Amino acid sequence: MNALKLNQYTPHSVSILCTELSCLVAKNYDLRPFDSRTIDFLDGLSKLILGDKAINRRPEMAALGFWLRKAQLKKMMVEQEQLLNNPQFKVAPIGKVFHICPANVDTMFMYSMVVALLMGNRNILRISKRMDAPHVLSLFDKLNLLLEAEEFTLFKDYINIISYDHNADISNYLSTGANARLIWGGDSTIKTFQSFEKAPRTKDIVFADRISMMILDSEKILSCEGKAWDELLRNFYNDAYTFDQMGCSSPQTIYFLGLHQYCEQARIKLSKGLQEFLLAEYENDVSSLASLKLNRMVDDALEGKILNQSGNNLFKLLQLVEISDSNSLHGCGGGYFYFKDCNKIKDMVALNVPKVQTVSYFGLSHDDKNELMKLAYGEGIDRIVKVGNALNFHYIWDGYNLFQELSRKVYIE
Amino acid sequence: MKVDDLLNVPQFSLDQAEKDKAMLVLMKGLHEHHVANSVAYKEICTRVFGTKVDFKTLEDLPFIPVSAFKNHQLMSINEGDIFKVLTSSGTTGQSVSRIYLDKDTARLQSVALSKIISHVVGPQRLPMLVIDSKAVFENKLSFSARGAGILGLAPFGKDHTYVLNENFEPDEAVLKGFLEKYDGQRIFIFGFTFMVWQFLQKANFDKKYDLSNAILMHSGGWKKLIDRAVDNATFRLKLKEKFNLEHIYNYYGMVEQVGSVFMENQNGYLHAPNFADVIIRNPVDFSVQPIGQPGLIQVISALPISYPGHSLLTEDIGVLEGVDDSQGGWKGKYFRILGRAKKAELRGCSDTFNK
Repeated sequence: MNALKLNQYTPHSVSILCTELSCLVAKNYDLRPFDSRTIDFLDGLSKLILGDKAINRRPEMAALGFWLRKAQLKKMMVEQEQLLNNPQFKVAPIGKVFHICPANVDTMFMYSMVVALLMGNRNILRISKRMDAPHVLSLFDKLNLLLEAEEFTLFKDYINIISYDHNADISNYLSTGANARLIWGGDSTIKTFQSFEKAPRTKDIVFADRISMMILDSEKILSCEGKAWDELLRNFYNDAYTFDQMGCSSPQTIYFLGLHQYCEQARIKLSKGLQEFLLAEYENDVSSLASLKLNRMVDDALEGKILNQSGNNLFKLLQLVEISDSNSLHGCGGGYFYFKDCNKIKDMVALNVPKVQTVSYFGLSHDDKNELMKLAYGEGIDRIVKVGNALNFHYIWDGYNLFQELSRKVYIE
Repeated sequence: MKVDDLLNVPQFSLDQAEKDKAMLVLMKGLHEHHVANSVAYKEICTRVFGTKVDFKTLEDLPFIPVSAFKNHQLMSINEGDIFKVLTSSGTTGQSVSRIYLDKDTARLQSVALSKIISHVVGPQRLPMLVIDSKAVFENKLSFSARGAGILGLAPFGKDHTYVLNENFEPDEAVLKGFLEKYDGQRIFIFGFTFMVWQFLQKANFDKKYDLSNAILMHSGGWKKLIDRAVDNATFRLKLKEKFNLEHIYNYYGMVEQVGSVFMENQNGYLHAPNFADVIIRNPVDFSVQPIGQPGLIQVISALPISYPGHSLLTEDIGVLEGVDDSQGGWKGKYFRILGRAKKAELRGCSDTFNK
């Protein structure tokens, strides 16, 4: 039986058998979609996060705190009007949701859980043991503290945050018991989990390896000055460098839009601005980045992917050859950007492949955005956002509306 | 100007100005040779370093990362002319470097090594104590680096004695027997740095052996010792205390540039021989670092003809300590190794399970 033991962090810290998890043992579903008690609970969590000076200075914590405020949750509820108040059907939870959470984004497990919880689902979250940063542990503490409040004890049967080393028996058990699995962590994690037993009706919502791009209007880059320019650099940094350019939504390729000479000048301006910014802001071991990038440049050169390189080892630009396959355009991270000049959005057909997730943009006109949307009427591009918002969580993710996915529609005559 | 001209004068004898002049001619020639004979090298130069071929100084020479020899087949000869393939040591699961030698390059390597070693050890073959096991030649996994190191130096010794038995356990009787036999005499000791520490410095003896006339040469890196808070100064001091051993020569070399050995002298710094050089590069933009500023170590060697390994960027971090003014009269640049660039740990979304 010891083989089925795992570590539980929430609702309280304990070593427990996977068969004993409260989410699996509990029977009654008390919460309705967007239940006022759920909203109060999450709003309470928001207050605890935003009120904690030790963590609220971290941008991702502040963002989470704001996202959990009552007003924000109500706004999402209004946006789900079609789902929640549909004359054709009633909406009900899907049941028990098993979340396999990513280790790279400290707060992602919370977003994953909150969306499911808002629909009234029970949640088992497997997180990585490496998520032991103080601000993450502090999130568990806050959840546990809140769960001790009398009005929120029922949520103890709705949230189990756990971790365990690779163990097929536990994964089989939890997968079989779940009505839905949210599998973050890319292709290899999806493959691993799809190899486990599950119930025939267990629904998988999977988040595969994706790549993301950025489109910058060259003339707008050149005319951008002062505060707006500083803000652009900061936004670029947040999108690309927060996760060392290794998030699915972090841009790998930059398309410079406009006439060639403007593209050229825009690159010079952007390079200069970012290099200065990064020297002051980006904390990483630059020697290892230098080796990493030189190695990748050699690989890319020998594979015939790139024509030339420029920039320094904090911000490296690689000019792509004319015909390149977007599917394979994932750099080595840490500020390694492929680029291409493009006269019209229409010409960026390379973006229309299933692998492309996010296209972030700066300076696009209304018409440009329409053209971009036309490209998305194909197999790729799931998100089109402003530069600076690439990593922002939204319940529309990877082509799913997660509220939809995590609910059942009940037909009643 | 030929590389033999630099091999045949006493090593460490050229001052930097002389050497720069001679090396620039040789390296330009080598660069052109590799551009003409290795498509891969040409592609790297064109796409990564631009088409500029007008070198004003050695600093303008393109540099290939050492790892490139792991991921790509890089050579400037026809397959039929391959005389020997060297492989780097790699721990299990890592890919290994493959270095393709023809007869000429192999000859240059062995001549070069002999010039450097004999500069330190002298022309006579000395009784040689090897701080390793003969089994290192049989073990395919660990052979490459350690075995090659021993094989490379064995010709400079006689009466070769290995202090570890076939199971890599220290054989005290053998060690004591050798030290007893040659106590106080000129002997040649060789081993990997960590093993010298572990099996010579830390060995227990009933009496104090006198190694004041012995010459110790060691290599292989400091990582394991730095983990135990043993740096070069401590290493030297402890050996002096224990054996009165003073002639200690650490050296820095790699399978990607065999023969091109950077040798330590009494001051504890590594020196570039006549036919090789070192450039310290700023990791941010690869600009050249001045004396005293640490950076990634680029190694330049006039030996590699059969493969484009004449200018390499290592993943080692070092600092230039001076030029032409070393104690003991060795000319040219001298430097120190500070460590190795960490493996970049960049977290991705594909990052959840099994980790």
